[in-house]
Amino acid sequence: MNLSDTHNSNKIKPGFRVPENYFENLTDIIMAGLPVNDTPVVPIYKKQSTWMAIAAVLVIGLCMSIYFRTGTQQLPDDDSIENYLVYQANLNSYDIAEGLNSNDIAELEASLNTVSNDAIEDYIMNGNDLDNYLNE
Amino acid sequence: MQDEKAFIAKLLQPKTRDAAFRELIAQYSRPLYSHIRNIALNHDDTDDILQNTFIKVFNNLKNFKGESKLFSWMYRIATNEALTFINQRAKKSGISNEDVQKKAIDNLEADIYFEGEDIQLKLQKGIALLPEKQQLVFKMRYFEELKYEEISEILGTSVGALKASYHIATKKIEEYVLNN
Repeated sequence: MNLSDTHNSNKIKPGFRVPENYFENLTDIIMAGLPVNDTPVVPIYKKQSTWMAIAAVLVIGLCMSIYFRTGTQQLPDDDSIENYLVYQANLNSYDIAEGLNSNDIAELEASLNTVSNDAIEDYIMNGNDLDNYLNE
Repeated sequence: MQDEKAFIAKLLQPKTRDAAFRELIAQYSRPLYSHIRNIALNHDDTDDILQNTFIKVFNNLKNFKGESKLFSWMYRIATNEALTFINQRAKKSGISNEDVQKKAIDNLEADIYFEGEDIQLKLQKGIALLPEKQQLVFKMRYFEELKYEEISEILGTSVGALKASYHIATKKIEEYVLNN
């Protein structure tokens, strides 16, 4: 037995048989089983309508986030406002006074009553603006 | 190569596609049948696999880049379809691929589409003892008489490795046949 020689006339054949007329009928059977639809299949990511829908959702989402963020914007606390007025704002005491109403003045007066005389004296003695206050 | 390019162009043109595909079936059905039958062993399974192969070829013609010959590409599809068929049958039955093959060989004795000579059956049993790839190499070289370069294009294995694989396969089969 010599399996190395593949062109040997004594080569062992696989021994398979085929039904009669099998190959004659095969072409028609295969052609009948082929898909008939010639409509090209467009992947969803290539459809323009898909991208437009995605863009619309993103724009709506962005607008909603801006709207709700503006509505719930946190106001700065009193300390931050005070610091701003003292160090950042270009305002003098007359500007501030103009912005006060009678309620604000009453509140300020009440808060001044809580300050002790010693604290007032300390402030006057150590303050650099004493001359300014005496001249006003 | 130019003839094949022109033929592929006909296969891709809607007007000439059907006639060209009929020509393709006429040209390749017999060699592909033999190739698949060598793997599947019985006619009915081979018929199913062959039809699936041609349908797959038809559906993927537009993706064929022409980097290999049409023949090699179709053989590759046929090989994969046949091996997938066996894998699926094994999974469905809850047995190994080797057991599926063993069953198919056992059924050959009673198969009306098998010549039934002792030596042919013994040869099939000897081949079944080889690893899957070695079986393919042996069948493609010995039964189908493909050139090593053609087998190399189909299986994606170097010619050198194929020659070594074939040599080992023949030694194992000869030993089995002589001892059984």
